[in-house]
Amino acid sequence: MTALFNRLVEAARIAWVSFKLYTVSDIIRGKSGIISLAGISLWLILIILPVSLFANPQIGLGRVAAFIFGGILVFNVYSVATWDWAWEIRKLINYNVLEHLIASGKSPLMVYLGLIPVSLIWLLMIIILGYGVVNVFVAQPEIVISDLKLLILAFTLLIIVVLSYALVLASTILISGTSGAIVEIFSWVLPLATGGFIPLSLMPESLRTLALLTPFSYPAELLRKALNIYEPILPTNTMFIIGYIYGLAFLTFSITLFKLGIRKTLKEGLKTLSAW
Amino acid sequence: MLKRFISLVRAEYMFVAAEIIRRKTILFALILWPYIIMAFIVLLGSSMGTMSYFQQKTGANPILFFITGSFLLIVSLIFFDEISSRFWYDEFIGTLPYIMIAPTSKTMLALAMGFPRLIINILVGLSSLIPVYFILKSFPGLVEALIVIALSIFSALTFSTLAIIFSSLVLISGGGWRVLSIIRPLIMLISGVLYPRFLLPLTIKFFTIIFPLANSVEAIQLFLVQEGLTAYSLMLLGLATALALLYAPVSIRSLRIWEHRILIKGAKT
Repeated sequence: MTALFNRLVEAARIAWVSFKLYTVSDIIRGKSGIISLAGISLWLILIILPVSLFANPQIGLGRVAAFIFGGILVFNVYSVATWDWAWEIRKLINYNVLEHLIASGKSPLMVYLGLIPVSLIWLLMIIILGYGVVNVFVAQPEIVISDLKLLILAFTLLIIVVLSYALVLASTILISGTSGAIVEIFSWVLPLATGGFIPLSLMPESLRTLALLTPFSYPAELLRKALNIYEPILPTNTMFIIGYIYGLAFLTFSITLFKLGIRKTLKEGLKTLSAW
Repeated sequence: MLKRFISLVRAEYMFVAAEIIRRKTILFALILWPYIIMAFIVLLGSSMGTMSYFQQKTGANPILFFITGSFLLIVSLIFFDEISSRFWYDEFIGTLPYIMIAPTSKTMLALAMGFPRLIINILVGLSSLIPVYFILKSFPGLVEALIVIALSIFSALTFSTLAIIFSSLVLISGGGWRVLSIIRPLIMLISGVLYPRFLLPLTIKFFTIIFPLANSVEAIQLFLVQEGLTAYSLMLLGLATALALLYAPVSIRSLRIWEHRILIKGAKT
């Protein structure tokens, strides 16, 4: 019991230290914050403007804006998973931090306990910015939080799923050496093919089936329901139960894969990684 | 001088080709990229309306419009991407001092950098534009695709001088990816590759006149709608050429300013 308590205290200490370090380097010391936000808003405008040209004039602009805002929300969660969490492994390897972490006997996953809150702060800033950009360039999104409990649970499920996805990508980086091209393609294709942007009921039948076979579609549908953007394709309870079972199974699989990656690294040593 | 430039282009080409042969994922990504952008926007847009609304507003088929736009994105930014990121990367990995002490003119080197990727990206045009144009327009589509590829190359070349000015700004500022992440989407937005210029607000539209890329991109988009080059389109292409020539001395000067600063301050590693 004492050993378990000590391990928990140690995990909390590592999480706190990582959080402090990432907050200082990424948010406080990094002067890039405002520039990054400006860049992100320009990218959003670049995507939002052409997409708005498809809008049916009979559907209110507020509904269109809500659709776009939902897409921005989900896309940025995926981006954080790809570029903040999965890509972090590449940084840890290239800066020789991972070797020190392994040598210290601590799990490299502990770093994520500190990194995730920092990423969520960033995510919140980007979502607020996205809301502002949609507001200015399209219209005020017609969003109503119909069920706060559902919103929190759907967002938590989304984080579980994308964290698992990030760990799978990170494991791939560890096992095969990195491939930025594949990571980048995944970051565009996955949210699109699995219903991240588009409600499943609006997707073609074959793509919809494919999306339902992945764990990604469930949190996105529940999130849209919670924000009153679109009704899910299956009853909310069914989506919720399948989503959580699938999400937790995916998390278990990704942690196992990550551990395999670390074990392979211990046998073969770390590779020098290139972005592309 | 021309012989020296060609040998530089050849050396750069060997470098880029070797990289692509070694890392096939780059080639894979290059071929897939225009399709991903096109599918991304068309699917997302279709979920909140239909393609016919797009056609009503722009006069163009959205699939043709966005496959062309995403190809244009890759081709047009070649010079900007290569020059700003390569010299910056050289500084990052510590090889910039060696490049600076080499007797080769940095301006000539910068110009040579873009050509190999431009040549390789013609293949991207063949793998993206030709199949889509052929499926949608049959055999006349093949000719149209080839004309669009040729116009896209023209577009990249006429933008090269202004691209060098932007690249110099990135390099002189020392801001690296932070400045790149602002200038890159800004260029795309102003050039109208994904959103036609005629729909932009009047003040921005007016500003885009001095932007060679915006003029050539509009000519290409008009070609998509009218299936031919009109007198107005030719005027736009002429304007792009004139602006490219106008910016040439400024681009050489801006790159020299950067070179001079590096020589005075030294390259950071």
